[in-house]
Amino acid sequence: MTSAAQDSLRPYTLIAELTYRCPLRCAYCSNPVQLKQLGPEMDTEQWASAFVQAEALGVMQVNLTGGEPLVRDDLEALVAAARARDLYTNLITSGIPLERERLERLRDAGLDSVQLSIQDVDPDAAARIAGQDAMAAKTRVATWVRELQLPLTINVVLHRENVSRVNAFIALAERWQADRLELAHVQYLGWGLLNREQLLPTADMIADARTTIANAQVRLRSRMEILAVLPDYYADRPRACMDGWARRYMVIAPDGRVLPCHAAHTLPGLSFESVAERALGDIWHHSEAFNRFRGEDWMPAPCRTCEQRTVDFGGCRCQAFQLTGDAGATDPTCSLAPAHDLIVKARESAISGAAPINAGASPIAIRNPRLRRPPTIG
Amino acid sequence: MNAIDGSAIPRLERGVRLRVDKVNNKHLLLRPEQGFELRGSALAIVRLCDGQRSVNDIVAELSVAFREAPVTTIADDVRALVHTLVARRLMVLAEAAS
Repeated sequence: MTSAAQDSLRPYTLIAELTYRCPLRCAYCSNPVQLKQLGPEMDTEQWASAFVQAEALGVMQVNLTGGEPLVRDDLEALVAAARARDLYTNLITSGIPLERERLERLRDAGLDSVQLSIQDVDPDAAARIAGQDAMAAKTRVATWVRELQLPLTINVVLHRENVSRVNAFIALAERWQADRLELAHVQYLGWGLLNREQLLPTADMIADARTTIANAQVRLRSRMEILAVLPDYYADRPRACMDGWARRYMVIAPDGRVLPCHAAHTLPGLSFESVAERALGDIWHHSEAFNRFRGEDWMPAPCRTCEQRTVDFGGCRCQAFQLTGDAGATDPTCSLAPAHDLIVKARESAISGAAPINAGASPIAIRNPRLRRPPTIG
Repeated sequence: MNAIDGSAIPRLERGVRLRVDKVNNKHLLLRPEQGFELRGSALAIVRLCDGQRSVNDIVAELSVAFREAPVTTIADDVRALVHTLVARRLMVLAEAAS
């Protein structure tokens, strides 16, 4: 293989979903809707082996996420295993449950950075979206992260109820002296799609948020980086989901299944193999699932001849499937997509319905972390 | 050319780490979810930005290592790179102890 070819087929980032267990139950959770169909979580040695194999493939960063990774008793050992391979190790956490001593142990094990999620600055709204208001605990965690000299990223998932509070999120991140603030809109897949009617903002709300963010980016340029991902429902072209299918990222689910993205398990006709059963490099290079939407051969019209195909890679396969039933369709968020009408209609219903979460006609679907039950709607 | 003082002491921002990409042997500065490739003289410069040496120290040291290059060129390169990395928040400056 030429080095260019090798380079084009190498992952940079491993998203390690260590567990689906979580004390929160956010209405836009990226975990599977059918939690009970999963196998047991991989143990410490299996994850350590996965890190070794990932690094050999070219991975340089590992995101330790979940669920809530802190519920794993062996998180310190997993951080150490990742750092033993010189992987840049990000902990992506709600900060619950965490004590200062444990964060110190994680740092000493080699943790490189902490990404702390904030559901809302309004306590009632946070409780509605996540099942509890954890701001006091999160404030403590942010303070410890600073004291322990770890870089701090604040992650916020934006949706209709909190998007008008972008300014307050920015002020909070400033107050906490965060290095980065990531304002990423809900993706309407899985739980997010189930709750879309209550989560999708209007175009006006998005325009306001865009202006506020742009001003803050200029004002805070030398102090804090602000990354913003606004909803693809209000863009003309789809987002470059995962930088292209099986191109730069790989996800390993708690039970060891290797996926090109968090939601790929929802796609029909694809079977995802476990790193506990097959070498990671084999899965990455040779598995049918990883090759299914690689490159351009799979692309339908209009993607196939579109000059944007090397920029957006045809958008999100999971979104295409969940909205149209065809995983090989052009992502409907593209204004050139045959099914774009679905997006236009969703935008229109966002304008007409202004009900806050939980107060509308269709109650929000939530995951139940203790019972691990699929959601009940209505 | 830019406002980087010769007495300033550059070091990588916390959470920024230099690492080799084994696939293509490139050198990258890593921070959460991002990587920045160091090309040409940038690697040699960044390796000396250890929070101990001043910009002037770094220029002097590189002038010994790269005798064929004019000192003014080296000084310009160091200041330009430090300026760029500080602007991208990959590097921070400490003032020299007086």
